[in-house]
Amino acid sequence: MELAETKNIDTQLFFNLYDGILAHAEFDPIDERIKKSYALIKDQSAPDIKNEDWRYTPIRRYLSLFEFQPHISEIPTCEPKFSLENKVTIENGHITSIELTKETANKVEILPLIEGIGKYPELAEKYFYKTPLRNNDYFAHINQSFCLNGLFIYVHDHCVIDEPIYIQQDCYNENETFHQTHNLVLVGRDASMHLIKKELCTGEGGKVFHNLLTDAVVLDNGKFSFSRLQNECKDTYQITHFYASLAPHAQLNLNNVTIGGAFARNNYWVEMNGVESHAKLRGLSLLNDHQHADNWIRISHNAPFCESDQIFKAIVDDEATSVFSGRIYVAKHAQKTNAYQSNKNIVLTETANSYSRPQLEIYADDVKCSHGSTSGQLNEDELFYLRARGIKETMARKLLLYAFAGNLVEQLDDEHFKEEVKKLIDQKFES
Amino acid sequence: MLSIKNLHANIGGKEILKGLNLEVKSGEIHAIMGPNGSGKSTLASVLAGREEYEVTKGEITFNGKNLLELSPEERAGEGVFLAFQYPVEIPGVSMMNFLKTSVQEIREYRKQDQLDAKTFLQRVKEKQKLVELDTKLTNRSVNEGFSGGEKKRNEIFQMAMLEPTLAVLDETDSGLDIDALRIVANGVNKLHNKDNAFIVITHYQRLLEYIVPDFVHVLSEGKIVKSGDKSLAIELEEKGYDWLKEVTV
Repeated sequence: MELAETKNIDTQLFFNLYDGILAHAEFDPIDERIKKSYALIKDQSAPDIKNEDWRYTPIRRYLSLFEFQPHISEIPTCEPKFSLENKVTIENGHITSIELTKETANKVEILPLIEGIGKYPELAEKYFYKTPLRNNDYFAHINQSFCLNGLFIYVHDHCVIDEPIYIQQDCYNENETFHQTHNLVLVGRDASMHLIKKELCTGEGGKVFHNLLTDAVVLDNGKFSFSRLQNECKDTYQITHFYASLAPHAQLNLNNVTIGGAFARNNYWVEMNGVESHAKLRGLSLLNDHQHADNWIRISHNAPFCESDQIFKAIVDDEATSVFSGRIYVAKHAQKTNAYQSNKNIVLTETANSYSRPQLEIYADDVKCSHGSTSGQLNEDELFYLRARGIKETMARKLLLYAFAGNLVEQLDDEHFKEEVKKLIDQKFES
Repeated sequence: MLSIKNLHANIGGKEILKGLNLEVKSGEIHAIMGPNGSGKSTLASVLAGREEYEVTKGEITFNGKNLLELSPEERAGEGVFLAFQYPVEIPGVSMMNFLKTSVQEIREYRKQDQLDAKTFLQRVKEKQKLVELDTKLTNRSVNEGFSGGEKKRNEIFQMAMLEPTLAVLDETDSGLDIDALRIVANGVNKLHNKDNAFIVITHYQRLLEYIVPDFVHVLSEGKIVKSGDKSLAIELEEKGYDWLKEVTV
């Protein structure tokens, strides 16, 4: 925090950046939402560390690294195409290609946001923007106020998509980029989809700030898996908002792996609105240098007989910081809730930091909830055992770190995703 | 092979070993007995190089080298092996990966050629048989979910794989039923030859019915207070440790 928060990061700055895109927003039914968000934040500025939700993450300091030069952001159009694989590409903040196999295209529609809303206004009206954005969710409102760029993904009822759909988000701009996408995902009744999002930089260019928002709705007995691999270069900063609401018997699997990037704040907010819905969240952060990753989780049990479990792990080296704030909320009538939360951190140096804030807020009386949090060094007994068998200390440490991370990797959903994560872990540990 | 002279060692500022002397030659089996808190396990830990123990005085020479200057992994490379009293469970580190790494690193230290995969697996099979450890080691983490007896047999199995010149068995018999005890002892007897040596730390004489020691030492309050042959163990079993205190006072 030694870098003074000199610049006043207020809403006007973002407004300038988008050159008054707000004025062009005439898309019912989200128009009203956009205006509401904007009205809420127009006189505000970005939260500082006095804000409880940003206590360990100096977001204004990160924002003050940016110039915020105004540029006109055109919304490009992009026609979905048939291909041999399911892949969406987002380059420098713009959707540049949407490719689906013929089989997949029969089950899911992936359209640029505005087209999707134009095609299905009644769905947009009925399902989205139901999760109450809190008044102090500043960056989500920024996204909602200015962002008309993103994807509309609609999996039709009873359609099970076997192969994962890849979304590749790449940034290689020479100039500084402030990039926002706003996605709506609707998984129909008895439908199922796995999205794998890879966030990377193929060229080291100017600094990038992402402010991303996804609003997902999973209908009755639907299943949505969302796996994210954050592996960007060292000049990438990002805030992600992910909201999901689950109907009866719906399932959400969320996998978040943070390996690259300078800063990541991930807000995962799951509203379990239907009985017997299920949410599984897994997170792994491997941080070194000055990396900072902040996972903010909120699981709301609003209906009885729901299950949620979250396991988040971090290895923090050098001068890196990991933050975990996880809250499980159980409403008064959400009886027979089964909720589990675990956060484990290994802190490798004196200068690395790990902050963990597990929280339970329970109003029902017949529930099973547990949470646990540990932060510490590698286990000395384990280390000694390995060394006593002739294994050099550096190697022994590596084996134990692999074990700590590997145990979580094994719980990720897709085999391809697992393999990819393993490879990146190898690379990171080698360096 | 091993020479310990006037060894003093502390843990957390408390002196546990207070001038211990011991000479071990190739081919010998030494038993170390003694009451709880006499320093038996401290001796084992100091020999293996556990850093929490601070050696304040004395020396340990192993095959001409100053053992106290070596890291735990170097000691293992030199041929020292500790069979742990409480083998630690390491979730996520697979038994096979652990064994392979251990054997590779030790062979590298000893400047031996690496084993090819086939020979390695053959050896694993053969040594597993030796200690009747018939559990599948693939897909299992180090000691995780092993029963008490399996953990101890796993220690002897590792010993067989690593072929040490000096093996220290720290209360390997504790918590073992009579069958497991026989299996463990059998393993040790098969591995014993004229070029290696064993230090068997035990609380009871029971194990020594199966592993016959050349020497029996009694450790009390951080020193060896009496040494003898295997008949000393039988005497201790009958009389307990108290009579020794009277003798030494």
